[in-house]
Amino acid sequence: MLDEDQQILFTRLWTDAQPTVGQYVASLIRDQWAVRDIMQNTSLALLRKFLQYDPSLPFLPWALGVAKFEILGHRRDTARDRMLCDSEFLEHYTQTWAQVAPRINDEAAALRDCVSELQGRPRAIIALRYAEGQTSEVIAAELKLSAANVRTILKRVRETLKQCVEKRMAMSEGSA
Amino acid sequence: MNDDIESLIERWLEGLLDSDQQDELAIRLKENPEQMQRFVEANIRHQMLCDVVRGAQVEEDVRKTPSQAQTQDRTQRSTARIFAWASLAACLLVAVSWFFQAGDRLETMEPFLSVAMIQGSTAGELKVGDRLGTQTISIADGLVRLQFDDGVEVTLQGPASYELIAPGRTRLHSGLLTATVPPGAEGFQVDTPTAEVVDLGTAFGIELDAEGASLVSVFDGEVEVTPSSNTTAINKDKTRLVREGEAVRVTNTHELQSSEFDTVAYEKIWPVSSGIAGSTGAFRFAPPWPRPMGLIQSDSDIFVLPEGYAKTLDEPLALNVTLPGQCLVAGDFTPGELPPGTRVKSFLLQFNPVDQRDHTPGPPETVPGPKELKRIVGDITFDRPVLGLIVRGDDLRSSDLRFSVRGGQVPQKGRALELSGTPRDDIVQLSEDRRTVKLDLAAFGFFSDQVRVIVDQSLSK
Repeated sequence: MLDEDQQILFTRLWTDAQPTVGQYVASLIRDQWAVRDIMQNTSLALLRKFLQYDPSLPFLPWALGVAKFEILGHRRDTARDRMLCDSEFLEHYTQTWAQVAPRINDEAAALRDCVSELQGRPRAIIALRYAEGQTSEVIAAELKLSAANVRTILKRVRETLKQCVEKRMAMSEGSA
Repeated sequence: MNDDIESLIERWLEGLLDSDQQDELAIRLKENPEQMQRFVEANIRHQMLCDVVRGAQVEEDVRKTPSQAQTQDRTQRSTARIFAWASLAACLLVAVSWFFQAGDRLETMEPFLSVAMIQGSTAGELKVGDRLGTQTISIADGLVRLQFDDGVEVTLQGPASYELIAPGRTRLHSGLLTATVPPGAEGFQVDTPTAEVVDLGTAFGIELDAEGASLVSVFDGEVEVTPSSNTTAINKDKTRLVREGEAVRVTNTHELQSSEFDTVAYEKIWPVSSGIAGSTGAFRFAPPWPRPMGLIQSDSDIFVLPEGYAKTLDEPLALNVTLPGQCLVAGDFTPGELPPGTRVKSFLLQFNPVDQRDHTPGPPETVPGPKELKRIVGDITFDRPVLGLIVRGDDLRSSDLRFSVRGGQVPQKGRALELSGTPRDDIVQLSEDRRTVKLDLAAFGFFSDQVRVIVDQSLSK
């Protein structure tokens, strides 16, 4: 059993890491209900194994490693099974995620501001793509465009968002 | 190679790779850490966008339509969707469906644009500042400039009939228009009787002729043109990407043909589509999209160059003249600074008389010969308030790259105004209503005069 200090430490670490681990799981598992199950199991497994965690090491790689085993145990997502069966690939992927995510996750607040500035068709298209998870083909049919056109617009909107995020990050660093 | 991996990653994110392609991708990523890093970054950014876009929409739904959330069919759809992601975000909020929201936005009846300028006699009942939503506007003659809330600008030349269907979706029934579409508003669409024209970040013009054919000319960037068929179904196979400096014609039998690129038909529309309400004196207008300035010389004209599209300042901008009044000497300057976040458009006004001197080696002459000094007077009026002027050499130079999209082509030597109150010096004046800049300029030899005018472009919200 965890004592009170350990429980507080776990809650703090897991609250910080949970969004990133959630994104990691969702990147590999298409079915949102399966993602929810895996996240629940990951959360419980982390709690159970927390006494094995070495507090002198970063928490995120450890949490991602536990989530990886939960994904391997689940394997309900047939669409991406090929990649998931490749344990070497999955290991590289998980390690890279642990390295890259902390840097990029800092951009979330700026990204939120930049997305809120989008209007009109670009906004409708990113809504269909990223909130609905629709493919370019489906969005094209919905909006009576060609799929190539939708891809081009998505690419440009992502580029616009990237520039917007970079500006905001530079401004916040300048004012910090 | 890079395009190849980018395209593979994009298709993986869309779930479009078959087993063999997944195997191939996995092998490449394992062997190449740099590509693995890009793959992971793309995945992280994709997931962040999913979270942010969903979160933004939930916030908007809660704010805007709390009562609609009770609607049964929407609640059913949304509950499943929101529940699934909310477990990740640890955030439970009631929301209506994304899907319908996206559709609703395209069919909104709320106003989504403003009338920015009217020039000429008959624009029906339209007035400058009117907010317009879904409707058809018809003008018998003259010019009308429309400013959409997402930054798209459309200028119509009468006689014309133009239908506003929804934000980003319009139809030209007759007449001539130009559209400029800033980054973030890509996908703006103009249907014509024979074609669909979809912008991919650009400036373009459409002219409908008496036979019902559509001539589409691309001034900057690229657009996609698709002939519409008589059965209203769109024939995507015939879609053509039309690039800057190209034109296509879609005939009344829906044939798509290449056409000669010629901007003569649009020249009358240029000043208005740039946001210039009028001028007296000798002004000549460049097109309102990015163009190199080049070395334009004329004894009789002030050249007006709109410097690219409206932009939002990302750092402060120093101005030399910020208040109405006349500047005869540098002591009359009213310096100031525009804060980041201000949305502006820039115009460069240039008087550059033909240099009559022999360019012999040695330092340039600084005193004009008796017939060399050229003087020119004129007023130019903008449709939005002038926030300030830049006339000092250093400030002109430091602001060049911020506004001239294909920067660096502006003549650099002797370009500042000479403001010391002598007869061969310059006078610049900003009117009380901040719309008109009055210039009285003198120049000779290799000296030219330039004024950068910064005009307010804040959008209606």
